[in-house]
Amino acid sequence: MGCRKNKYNVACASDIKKILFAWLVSMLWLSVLTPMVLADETSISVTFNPEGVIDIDVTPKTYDFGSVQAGAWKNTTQSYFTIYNNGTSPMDTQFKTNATTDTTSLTLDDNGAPGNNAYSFRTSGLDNDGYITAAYAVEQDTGIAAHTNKVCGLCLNMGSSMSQNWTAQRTTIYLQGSIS
Amino acid sequence: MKKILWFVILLVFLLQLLTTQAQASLQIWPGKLTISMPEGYPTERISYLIEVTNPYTYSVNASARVENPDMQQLTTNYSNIPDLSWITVEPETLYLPANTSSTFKVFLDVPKSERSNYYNTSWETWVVISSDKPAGDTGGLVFQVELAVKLFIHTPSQQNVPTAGIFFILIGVIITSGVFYVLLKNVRKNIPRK
Repeated sequence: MGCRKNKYNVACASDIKKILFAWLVSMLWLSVLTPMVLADETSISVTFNPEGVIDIDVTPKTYDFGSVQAGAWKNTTQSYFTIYNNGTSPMDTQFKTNATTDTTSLTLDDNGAPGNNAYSFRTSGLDNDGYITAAYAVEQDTGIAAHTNKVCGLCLNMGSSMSQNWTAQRTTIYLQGSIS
Repeated sequence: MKKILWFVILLVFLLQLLTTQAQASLQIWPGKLTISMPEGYPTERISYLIEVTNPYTYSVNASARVENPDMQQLTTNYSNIPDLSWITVEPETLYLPANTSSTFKVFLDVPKSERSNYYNTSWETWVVISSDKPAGDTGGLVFQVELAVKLFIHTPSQQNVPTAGIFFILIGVIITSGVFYVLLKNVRKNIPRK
């Protein structure tokens, strides 16, 4: 069997080629298999740390402002609504309301300057009183202790003008509670 | 004896007055959940149960949605989760007969292609649960209560290299070296001696 020596005269050139080829193939397999093996993370643990019970409510659930003139304010009493925290941790609360009344006749103005066919709501008696917006933005009250309550009122500001004498309007205010 | 009886009656009355529990709404547990992955991202999606109790004498439907809180409401050192679709809640609506409890299942699944971008990160997102409890037909203003479960997620600090992986690499290196050695030995045999 002939063996063609290489220039260094230490091995057959064909054998060295075989070795290099085998080494290359082995390394290729290793490089392919390594990420697959590394991706096997079945034994990885995840830790959960659950805390507290949330239970919040408000009463009464409804209010009727009655007839309101354009450009005028009409308020509930300062302590008309009661927010209860029946949970086990201090609670933050925030308000949002629909962008229009249910009939879409009137539009919410969340900056407190309602124009034509618009209105604004404002809280009173809470830590961070302000105008109620169409999306949750700030916490109106923070840290209501567990098993206590807080009273508050609502103020309605009707727009500077109305295009007609609207019939009764209805809208929803959302009260969201979360652990402080 | 009469005095004691009156005292007991008064005490019971006062206790009842003081413990007259405020209005009840849906009760949620937990209100806050911290998820940590100290050993790396798991291969399967992470899941956890949120228990909802209906205290009413009638049935309600509770629904859940995932929301990122406003920037002003974020807890210090936390950021919003980059993609809300990484968190899902099943079922979307839960039917709760009177005075019963049931569970929502929250899933967290960070896509594999995104994981390398989010090591050592802290996210905050909320699962908001509300009910279709009727608030009444009267009044121009209606209140609807919603409850937000705060989810705090701590991503792994770095890419995990499992022990099993290192073991398999070592085996691979040993086999490769063995093959290389055997081939080299054969070559030496084939070298014509002078």
